Amino acid sequence: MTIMRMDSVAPPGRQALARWAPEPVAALAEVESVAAASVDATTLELVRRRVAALLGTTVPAAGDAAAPLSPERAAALDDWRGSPLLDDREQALLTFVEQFVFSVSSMGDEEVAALLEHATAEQVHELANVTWAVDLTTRLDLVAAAVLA
Amino acid sequence: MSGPRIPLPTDSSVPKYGTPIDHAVAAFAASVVRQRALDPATTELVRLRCARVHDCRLCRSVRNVEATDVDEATAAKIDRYETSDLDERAKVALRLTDAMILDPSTADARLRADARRLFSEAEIAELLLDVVKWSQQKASVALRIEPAPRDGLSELRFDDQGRASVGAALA
Repeated sequence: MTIMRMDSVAPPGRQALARWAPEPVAALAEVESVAAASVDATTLELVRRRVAALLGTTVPAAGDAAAPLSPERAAALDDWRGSPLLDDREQALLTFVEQFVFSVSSMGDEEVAALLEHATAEQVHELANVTWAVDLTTRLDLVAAAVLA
Repeated sequence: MSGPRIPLPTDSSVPKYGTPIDHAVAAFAASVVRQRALDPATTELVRLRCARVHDCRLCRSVRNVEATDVDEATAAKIDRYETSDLDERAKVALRLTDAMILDPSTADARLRADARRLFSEAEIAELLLDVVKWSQQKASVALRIEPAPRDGLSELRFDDQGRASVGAALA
């Protein structure tokens, strides 16, 4: 996730948005912050990387934080289905994320049921919100950079 | 039609399940609604495009009472807006919407030029943030926990704080 930081490292599109709509941009940054705190670091990194790849961009460098994914597991995301480096919970997560990003209206009961094998209903709800936050802020930053920055 | 995939919320006094991210999302959504750069008709076209692409059943069944210029004949043109007789400003607004919700790579130099010719920068900023707000329904649609729509169309209203409510049935 591109966490909005007001200390000059916000993406160019987000900086342009903040000039014209500072209140919603600050509120969105708060959403991202809360979202990032609502799931474990590995889950967040899997969502960030998969969303970025699906939308044709890359994940910003992790900075000084410990990398939540090993280089081998990160590389496995390029061809993750059936990879022995990603467990059943992670594969269910990636399946959900892909469907969410491409066509949420076509999400099936089975994708959510697979998540519920590894998480509570509340955790799945949180995960849907996190996926939305990563998905839409990634899209926002890409489009705002192109048309507004 | 699929039913809820997790238990539905039970406390109507809090946003959704009342989790910290639910409250943060509600605060963001209200802050977007309070923006006033973009005209209500364009905002409604953007909202309906998001509703139809994401298949939010409730969102599709309501109409913003502030958008008096968007009648049902106009709303019916949204699905095939490129070949419709909607004006260019509406079409560019919907292209920006589609760049956000379908394919960000379509936000190219031509769309930038068209957008900046027909909209102010403040309007573009609000439109893009509108799409984020109107796409929050993706989280509900994924789990099919969006509130069930009433029969027919209903009024959609926002108070001064930006909080939404579904009002009376529309004739």
